[in-house]
Amino acid sequence: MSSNDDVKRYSALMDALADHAEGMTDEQVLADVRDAGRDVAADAEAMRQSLLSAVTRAKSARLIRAAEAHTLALERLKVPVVAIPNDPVRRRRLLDRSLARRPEVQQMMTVAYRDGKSLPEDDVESLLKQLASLGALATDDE
Amino acid sequence: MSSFKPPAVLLDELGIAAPNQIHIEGIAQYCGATVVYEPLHGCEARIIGVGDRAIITVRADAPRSRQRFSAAHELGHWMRDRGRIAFACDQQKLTREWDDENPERRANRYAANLLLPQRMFVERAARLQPNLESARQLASVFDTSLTATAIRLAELGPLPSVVVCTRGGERCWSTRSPIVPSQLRVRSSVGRSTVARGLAEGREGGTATVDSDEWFDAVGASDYVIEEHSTVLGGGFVLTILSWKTEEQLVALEEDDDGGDGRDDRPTFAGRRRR
Repeated sequence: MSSNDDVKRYSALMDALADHAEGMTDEQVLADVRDAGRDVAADAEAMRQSLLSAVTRAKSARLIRAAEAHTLALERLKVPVVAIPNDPVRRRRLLDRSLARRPEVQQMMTVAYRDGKSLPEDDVESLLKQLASLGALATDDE
Repeated sequence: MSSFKPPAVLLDELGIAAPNQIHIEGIAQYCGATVVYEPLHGCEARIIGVGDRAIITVRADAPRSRQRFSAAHELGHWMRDRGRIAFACDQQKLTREWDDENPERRANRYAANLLLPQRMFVERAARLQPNLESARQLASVFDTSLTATAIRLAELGPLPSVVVCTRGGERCWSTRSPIVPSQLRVRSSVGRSTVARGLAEGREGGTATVDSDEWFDAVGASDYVIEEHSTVLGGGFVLTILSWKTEEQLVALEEDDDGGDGRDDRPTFAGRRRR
């Protein structure tokens, strides 16, 4: 007999079993399980826990993937996207131009550095790099 | 479509069920915001976002608990204002802005709900007294700042308390357990006999029993005493947890409010909590 025939016979057997189970009442199913010496409540609880565990694993996998994505993002941020000017005046101008392209961000920056504070020179470079990696840095000739 | 997700939804989506699973960098990344730690000179943390991506920068030399809170605070800004955002938040904002309804307060609330989730917090605080020792213990479990944890203890702890932040003896903000009557108002300038005032003047901190009217403006406040637990936060701020050994003052205020004598079925702390 070919393996193809085996598959057909197996499928037919499984279909017959499924039809039989479908035709049974709940009481008949429970009686069958009890006759087989099994604890219905324990089986149901085990199945419930198994499903819950699978759901939790799937959810936790999202956090694991996000943590891995964070590591990759940090690596990408280390790679310079564009050259940032060394001259503090040019750096400041570049930042102003970049923010001017996005008035909504500029407005928020003004809010962020309110109380008479201005963005310290030391923080300008890292901000420019981050704007570059977000694709929001103006070009030098803009 | 709004991309705002409440902290409880985020925690559920990521299968987070215990304090040590609250991985703030992973959570932020899941929301499109990358957390980086760098030297910052002008602020404690900042966020810059364009489109659906953002970078949260947190001061590299800050204590870990503060870094986590700062990152969660900036994430709170991101969840509310995605697509049009750039905030820089200094330590004063993070410490001071708990009582005004503004973006900073909302971001603080978001961070507290994310890092100190209600269900996890309540079960761990269930047997704790409202004092600094309890707040420190919980802050260690959740890896959060003392201030944020103390506020959460007042909000969700089993016994009534009031948390107050002062500077130079002047109230900056206060928050209270839901069961503490609202007519018990914290004085804008706290009494001279308080531990908080002493700390502001360079004396020792700690715990003391003080007259209630040293802290509260309320009818009959001088008839009662309260427990004061105060410590220095830095930047001239003092954090205080106020609690009661007995419930008489709170019951009396409720009676005043209700207009009844309240002698029958006088509730205990535990009973009041369950109401």
